[in-house]
Amino acid sequence: MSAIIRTETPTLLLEAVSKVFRSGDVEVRAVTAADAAVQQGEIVAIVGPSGSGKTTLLSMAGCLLTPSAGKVRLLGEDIYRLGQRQRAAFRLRHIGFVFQAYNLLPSLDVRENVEIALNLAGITGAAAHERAGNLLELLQLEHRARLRPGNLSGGEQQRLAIARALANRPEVILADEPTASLDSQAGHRVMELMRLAVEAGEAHSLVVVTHDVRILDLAHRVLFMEDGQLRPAIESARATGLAAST
Amino acid sequence: MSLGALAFAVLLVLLLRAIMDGTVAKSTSYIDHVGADVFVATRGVTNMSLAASNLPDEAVAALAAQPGVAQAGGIVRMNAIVGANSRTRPGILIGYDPARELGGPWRLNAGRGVEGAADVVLDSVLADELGAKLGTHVSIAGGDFQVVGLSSGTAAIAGKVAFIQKERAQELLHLPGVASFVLLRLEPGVNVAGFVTSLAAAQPDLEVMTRQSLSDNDRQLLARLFVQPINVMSTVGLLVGLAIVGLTMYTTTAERLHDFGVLKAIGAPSTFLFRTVLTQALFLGCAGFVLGVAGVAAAGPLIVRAVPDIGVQVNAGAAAQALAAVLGMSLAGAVGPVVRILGVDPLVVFKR
Repeated sequence: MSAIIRTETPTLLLEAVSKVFRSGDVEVRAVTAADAAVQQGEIVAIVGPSGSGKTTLLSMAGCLLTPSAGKVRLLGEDIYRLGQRQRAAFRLRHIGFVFQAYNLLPSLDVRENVEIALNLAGITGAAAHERAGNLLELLQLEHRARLRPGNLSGGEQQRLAIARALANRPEVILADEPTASLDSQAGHRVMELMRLAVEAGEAHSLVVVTHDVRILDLAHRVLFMEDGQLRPAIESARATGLAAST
Repeated sequence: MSLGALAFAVLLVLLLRAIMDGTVAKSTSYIDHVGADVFVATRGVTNMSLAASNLPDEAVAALAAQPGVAQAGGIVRMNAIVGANSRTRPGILIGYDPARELGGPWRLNAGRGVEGAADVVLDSVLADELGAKLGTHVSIAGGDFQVVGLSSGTAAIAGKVAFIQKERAQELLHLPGVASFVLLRLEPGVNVAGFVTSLAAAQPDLEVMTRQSLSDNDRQLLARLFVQPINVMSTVGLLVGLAIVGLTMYTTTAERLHDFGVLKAIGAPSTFLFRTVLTQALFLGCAGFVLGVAGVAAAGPLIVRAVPDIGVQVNAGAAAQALAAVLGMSLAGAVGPVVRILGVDPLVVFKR
């Protein structure tokens, strides 16, 4: 298990983050004053029923949805004070996404799906090729490098999505139901690989939104979300006793 | 799918244009291939297809005596109805002097050239249409003839040629001693343009033209008259084709809006997305063009075989115009998707 490095500036910090959706006179409060801090090396699981606001919270944490109130800080930076272009660059450099629907690019092969994230960050040619190769090896996909995503199994597609998310060694990986479309064996393997990636320093921390109770064992902390409110965190059994430095 | 639609659009645009160009080019086949360097007509007659030119037979001998002339031959040219086996077809009658070896058919598929007053060499396509073979009796402008030869390269949209003796043509036309044009073949090394200029200056009652200038005049005339419907079709084809190109580009990009949303979510800047769309547009445009040209190359011979009157000819200029138009429309077709990409919400990545 990776060591959590507690610092004054957490990797990801949510400060009283709220989101209200309005449609005409109808107002839906999706997230209400959520507070959370994710430290370097930490794996946090967010659980809760459907419609509780988990994905909305993840979207706000990922620079994709501007909160109605509150602040989201990534590496101490108030990300919603940045312009749209800077925010895109910030996402590219510091955040990796893993989605339930994989969201791979079907016209690119496996290796190219990883390389595109590197290319966008300005890493091209042999350097991108080598980095993509290493990640595919880490995710045990090197033998599938020339295939299109459509020719991969669900588990392989999700591992490829993880490889893409890790490409630029992000500070945080935000994963939305990464195992929901997978059978139990593939799902466990995917989570195990994400945990190993964090331990190996390929990503500094991991936030997983999930319904999958099997994932909870792999997390340092579990946060509960219900009716848009983030409940106090519970340290998982595995997290207890971990060496934590300050 | 998208590439196929683009290739089809290019095929449509290029093929119609190629048919127009090929048909016009084929319409001057006689002028281009009969072997004359210079054509002489009555003053003011600048085309062979529609104008009436009358020169005395003596002009042939006079022109043959000009310095630099290797061969001179007078021809009588008239439109005529050709009939055989109870069928009739419009044709172009050329009367020439077989002894002078200028003005007659330049390529025979079968048989021989005209020798006697009752001989006719028919264009092969015309012969097929009439069901005529070597030895078949045909009627032309009220005269009876027997097919002694079949020529090729003498069918055009304006008419298919039947060659007979010049004197017999004069008789049918009731204009004895009159030729329509005098054809001159110059001696090797003679400057054609210089010859034409000096002859025109010396003979102000005559219209003296190089092969190229007469051919150009006829093509322009035929393009205005006979090829107008093809021109309209070609223009409609161009518009339809370009609309296909534009719509194809739009739908191709629209189909991938989700992928662009994913790229936006992971942090791709808008410039990258635009560049991707434009590159895709140009690539599709170029690939569609290449496939379209290949399609024209494949379809052209089949079309000419099916309809021998017309020609299919892809000119470099027309191809360049089509390429520019296709690329232009590809880019124009990409404008809509680019605007849509601007509005794509990267949150699409969370849709399950």
